[in-house]
Amino acid sequence: MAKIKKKKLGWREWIALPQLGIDAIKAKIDTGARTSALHAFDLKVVQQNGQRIARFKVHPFQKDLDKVVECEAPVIDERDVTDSGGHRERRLVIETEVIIGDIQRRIEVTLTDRDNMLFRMLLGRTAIKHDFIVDPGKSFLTKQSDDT
Amino acid sequence: MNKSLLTLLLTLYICIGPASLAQAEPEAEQVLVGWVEKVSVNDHDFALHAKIDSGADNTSINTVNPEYYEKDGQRWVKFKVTNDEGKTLVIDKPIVRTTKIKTKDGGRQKRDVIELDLCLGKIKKTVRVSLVDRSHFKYQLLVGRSYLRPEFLIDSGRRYLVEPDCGKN
Repeated sequence: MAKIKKKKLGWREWIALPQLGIDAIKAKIDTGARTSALHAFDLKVVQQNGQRIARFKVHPFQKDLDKVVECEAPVIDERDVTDSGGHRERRLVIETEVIIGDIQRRIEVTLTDRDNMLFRMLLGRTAIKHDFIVDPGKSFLTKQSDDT
Repeated sequence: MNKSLLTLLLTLYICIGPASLAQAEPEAEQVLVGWVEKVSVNDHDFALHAKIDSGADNTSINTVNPEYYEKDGQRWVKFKVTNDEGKTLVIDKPIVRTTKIKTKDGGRQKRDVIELDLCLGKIKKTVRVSLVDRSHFKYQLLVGRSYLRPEFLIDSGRRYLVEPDCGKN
């Protein structure tokens, strides 16, 4: 059998969002979602040199409401997204770098209020399809997950 | 053990030792599937286009107009599923469990669960399936982690890598 060039991810991985100042955030690897999503609160949009900038806060650790990271990113779009419950929501879309294991890639991320959901971050198909395949029976397969 | 042999062994270890990322060679039995596949239900010549979803704990099937009844002291459910090719399957099964699902607004929803035989590629497995109205979704069947592990790997950049082929019993 030919060796697959893509690397393996579990259904949960620790990843980094370096441009947002987030060194580690646990992400659900979600082949059922097209776009990635990030839980954000206190979301504001400002104009800077004719460009819309999103300013928002993130709790990178699920159970730690004291740890807050303040983030900023250019808004590239606004999109209607349907979640797993069938609810449609209009969300801001930002573009930012993600580090998954050894791979760093620029991805689109929608900002959402995921307060009731377990994961702060969801990586969708478009973020992972170029570099990875997913083993839904495993978790934390990347070296980054070892270090965390 | 002499020094040069030790150096050789050490060099070999460094070259082929654990990589920083698990190399994507499937374990002997693992099958690569796409994020959408045709999955056959209950041994019949009936398949649904299914979303292969690492983000879902469980599997759900589109349930519309279910009829509930009692048989031998147990709750049963009967409903029809029609696939994209126009074929209809009648599902008539005992309810094995009722679960509570957390909804986005923090509420709770009840979901009935039955057992179905699902065939993906050459592998047939009996799995618990939640009954959900999926009529507003594109795919009538959502296959989650409880079915997929440990046999399957998912390529989220491709669809239809396998055909249901579990033979007839």
